[in-house]
Amino acid sequence: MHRLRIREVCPESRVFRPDGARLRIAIERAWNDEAPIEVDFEAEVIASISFLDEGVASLFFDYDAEVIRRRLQIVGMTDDDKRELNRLVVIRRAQRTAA
Amino acid sequence: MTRHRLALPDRLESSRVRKLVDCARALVTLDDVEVDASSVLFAEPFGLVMLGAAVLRRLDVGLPIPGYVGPQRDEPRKFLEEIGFDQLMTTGVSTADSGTLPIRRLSANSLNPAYMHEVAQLVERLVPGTSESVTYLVEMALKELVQNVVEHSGSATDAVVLTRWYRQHENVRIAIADSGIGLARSVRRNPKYAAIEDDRILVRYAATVEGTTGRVGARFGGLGLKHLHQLCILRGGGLHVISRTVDASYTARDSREAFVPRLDGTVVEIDFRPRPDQGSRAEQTNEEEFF
Repeated sequence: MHRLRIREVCPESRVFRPDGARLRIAIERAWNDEAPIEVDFEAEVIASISFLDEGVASLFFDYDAEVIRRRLQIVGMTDDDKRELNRLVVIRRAQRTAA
Repeated sequence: MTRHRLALPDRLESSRVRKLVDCARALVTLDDVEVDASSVLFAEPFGLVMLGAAVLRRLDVGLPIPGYVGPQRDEPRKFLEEIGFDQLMTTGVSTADSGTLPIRRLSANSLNPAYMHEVAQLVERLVPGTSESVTYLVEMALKELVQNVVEHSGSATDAVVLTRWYRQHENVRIAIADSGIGLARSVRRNPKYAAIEDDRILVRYAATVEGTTGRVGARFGGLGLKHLHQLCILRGGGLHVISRTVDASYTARDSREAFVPRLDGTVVEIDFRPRPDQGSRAEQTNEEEFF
């Protein structure tokens, strides 16, 4: 399993949309169907819609949810961030369906 | 040269929008002006950041620092001093003690995540009964509001932001003002909405419809303001926006957009109760939990 640690991928800031884009690009570079990626949020509070959207939720606009389920695991995320991320995932999945 | 006296309304809040916009416009155009706050009885973030941003625009166009007369009444005078409003009006900066949730000038070209975290921590520390969830919501809301300024507004001057907690209704108000292009022009960057001429419709889309705002080179619009709008509605509050010529407010009971005299920039105030009512949708989630 390939592991991405959030502070290593986005060392300077984990707040804004460009930070999230850095994470998404790192995920897309590393993932494949054979070995899932584990993204470790290291218990850090993100509290940023833009980061969570651009870094993870936006993948649901580009990829089928089943592909993401096979390839991506999120660990070490706080409950508050997980709740926000799940809301964003619903929105981006709906946009993919509508597109 | 004649010194103009600019009398502020008795309440620096959304119910005095027209008067506040008139004052903000005058601050950016009158050469020699004295801001007279002697009648002020009550001040909310919405009015304070609007006037603060107008002073920054005034200085940016080369007009002199305005004169300033504080409120006659002790309570509003002490409050404005405590949060650094008088200092912002007379110097363009605010260095009030950060332990008092002061009004702040934030760079419109760079972001300071530490500020947002600090304010959220302060709310948790200063307000009895608040929890980590409150801290999370305040921090998230601030990050989105500040990011919107940097990402969408193209503001020529710094933004002014203020967060306050109100004991009576246990609500938080966060307001931010910039001198950027406004929500309507930002939405028009999205080709899907480029042909819509009515700015009121575009402001409504920006505030209530997901994925409308256009980011240059982006594949889809952002979600932040819509997300905050929803959060506020679910938590007994609302969203109030003044953006260029549009005055818009959204609550659970009412939504409206009206025209106002043109203000250079945007003011956004969100109002929410961090602790939702029992049974509120805010803490329920019927949405699929993917992670």
